[in-house]
Amino acid sequence: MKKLIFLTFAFVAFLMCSAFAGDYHTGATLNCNECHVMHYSQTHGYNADGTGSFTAMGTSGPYDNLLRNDVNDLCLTCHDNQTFAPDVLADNGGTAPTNGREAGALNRDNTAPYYDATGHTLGSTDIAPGGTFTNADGLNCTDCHQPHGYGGPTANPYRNLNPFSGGGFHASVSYAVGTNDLTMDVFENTAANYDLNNVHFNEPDQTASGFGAWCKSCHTDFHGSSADANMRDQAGPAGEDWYRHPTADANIGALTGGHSELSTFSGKAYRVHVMSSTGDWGTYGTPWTGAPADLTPSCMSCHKAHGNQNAFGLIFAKGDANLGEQGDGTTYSDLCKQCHVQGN
Amino acid sequence: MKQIIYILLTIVLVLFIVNLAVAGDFTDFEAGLNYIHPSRSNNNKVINRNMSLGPGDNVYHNGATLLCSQCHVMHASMQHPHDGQTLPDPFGPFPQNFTPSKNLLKASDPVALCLTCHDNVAGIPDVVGADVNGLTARSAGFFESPGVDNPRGHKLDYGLDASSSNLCLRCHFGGTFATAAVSCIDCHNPHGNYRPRNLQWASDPGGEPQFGLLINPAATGMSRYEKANVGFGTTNDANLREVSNMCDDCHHSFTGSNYNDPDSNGIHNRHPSYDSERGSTNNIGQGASRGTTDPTHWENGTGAGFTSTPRLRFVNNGATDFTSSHVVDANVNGVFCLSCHSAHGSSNAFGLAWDPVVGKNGEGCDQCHNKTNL
Repeated sequence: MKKLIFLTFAFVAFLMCSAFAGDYHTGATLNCNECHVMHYSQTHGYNADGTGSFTAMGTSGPYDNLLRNDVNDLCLTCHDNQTFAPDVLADNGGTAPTNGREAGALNRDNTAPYYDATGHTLGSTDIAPGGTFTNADGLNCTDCHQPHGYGGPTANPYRNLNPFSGGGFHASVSYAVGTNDLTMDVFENTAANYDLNNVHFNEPDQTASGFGAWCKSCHTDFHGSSADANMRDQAGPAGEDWYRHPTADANIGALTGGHSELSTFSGKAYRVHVMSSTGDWGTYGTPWTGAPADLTPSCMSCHKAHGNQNAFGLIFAKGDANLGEQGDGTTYSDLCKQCHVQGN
Repeated sequence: MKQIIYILLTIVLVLFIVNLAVAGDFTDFEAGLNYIHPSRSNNNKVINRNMSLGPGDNVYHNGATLLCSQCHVMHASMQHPHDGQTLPDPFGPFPQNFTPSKNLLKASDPVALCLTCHDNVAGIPDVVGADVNGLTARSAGFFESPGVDNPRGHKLDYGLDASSSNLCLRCHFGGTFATAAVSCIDCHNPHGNYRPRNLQWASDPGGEPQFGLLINPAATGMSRYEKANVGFGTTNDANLREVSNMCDDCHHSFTGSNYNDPDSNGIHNRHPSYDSERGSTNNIGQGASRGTTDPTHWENGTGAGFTSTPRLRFVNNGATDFTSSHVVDANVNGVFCLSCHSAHGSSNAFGLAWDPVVGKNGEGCDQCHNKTNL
């Protein structure tokens, strides 16, 4: 049987993405037939004359939930090495954002330079560090991303982040597009733009991180506020004696005496992402004079959500040049010195 | 030398059979038919033929409306009409001369014969292209012209062998699903069988049960073919089987739990399609537990999926009349072939009841699934 491989959603779908306040796979851009096939059989496209592209089906079907392929292979049909969808696996074979992919890249095959140790590994059955979550069938895209977009009270969450990640329902990550809303966790300058300089992080609650809370659904012990016992010795002085690196409720430079220093951070031209309660992140590429005192690091400050070419998906951010996906430095301590003065 | 030839022929035959076995095709035709219709052997054809008209009441080409001369001519020539014949005759003015055709038909092919009346003749159901009768929506939709590949429904074609053994060859043993065509008399019994629309099992004409295609008793004339005047029900047995049961003759890999959930893990691999004969009934409410369907949304009938598409058709478990077939209840409403597809075809790819390209893609799907939440 002849296999037809047509993958040309491209400009119509892509333009549709840009026209809507929100990203793809949600609402009007949730196209059932991109991922599902009713009878595991298709001999022509969806146009009335039979033309039109359609996602090829895997050869080991039929698949659960009427999918065209196994979950990861299905997602990667579009999200790997295609120009019309963000590339999420290993090297960027798609349209390369100017400053690199905000989320970096997943790994799968433990091959250089994207080893298993450099970020989230598709197909992994490992237990999430700091937590108990594991997918016995292997980590797949839908463990983190809601394939239908809409989910629970957080309508249209940022990047369709799954409010059921880690098992059980929880809040997802809210976001605004075009015009910032400080009550939202994330602000995108423009929709469907995956450049790291297109995404910024608000701090609606200065004792919490919406992004961190979502990551916590799997990496349970790694996140929380200063009032959480897994994060800090509750008997210690306020703002001190952290057990684990703060991901919320700790402003850069709040403590004097050799801890983080705001001027160290703001003096860098190229800075990692931090949360700002006022929606002020300075200008990327320029040292930041007058940076506010309430900037807070969180997960995305140090790690690429998918991963990159560095162990733990860390961003080796020296801060002298465009960080890209790996950072402009050569070692993890470059990242530490974005904020910390020790060892300078 | 002869011995060598015999050995070679035997090897070829064995390889042929093995190839069929490996490919999963049946080499026993009867076994194939029984696989498609497990209840086949239980249906008494004599009883079925004598079954009184039920949901198929007033079906043309039955009893007093089965008029031989409408389709047959004895000597390929006819100088004048029969007594009482309604004029004008679809075959043209008299005297009439015909090309002598098999079975004394007035046309060289059954499809050509059927379409002499069933295409563009007012007062007769029009099944090809635009509707001369101006119905709002024909219940079965419409075909493309015969002989033309049709991505919007079934392809009609001439010259098809309508014998039940040849039916399989349309798709198997060299045929392909993508190019398979149908003849009118594959699905419809030309001499009537007291079934709605004279529908029959293409694989075993005469073996079919009664079908639950239920027509509005208040409808008359061409309005009996209006989509709004047709409902669907089933008692899940030969007394009244869902009408899509006859679709299984060709589309048998699209129904039944063996195909819809081959690994028996309770998660569908193919879209469920009501099949009471093969133990695969369904209702829209069944998906609620896994969040795959939204029964309340379906019953409300507004919002996502309904914005440009009328409520999709459904088959009601237990319904035996038009009124009961239209009760909206997610625990009773089952999805079947005609929920999404028009039997003949439509203006949309795959004969779908909605346009999958223009407008909101979730139309249709979202009536039950409500995923786009638009």
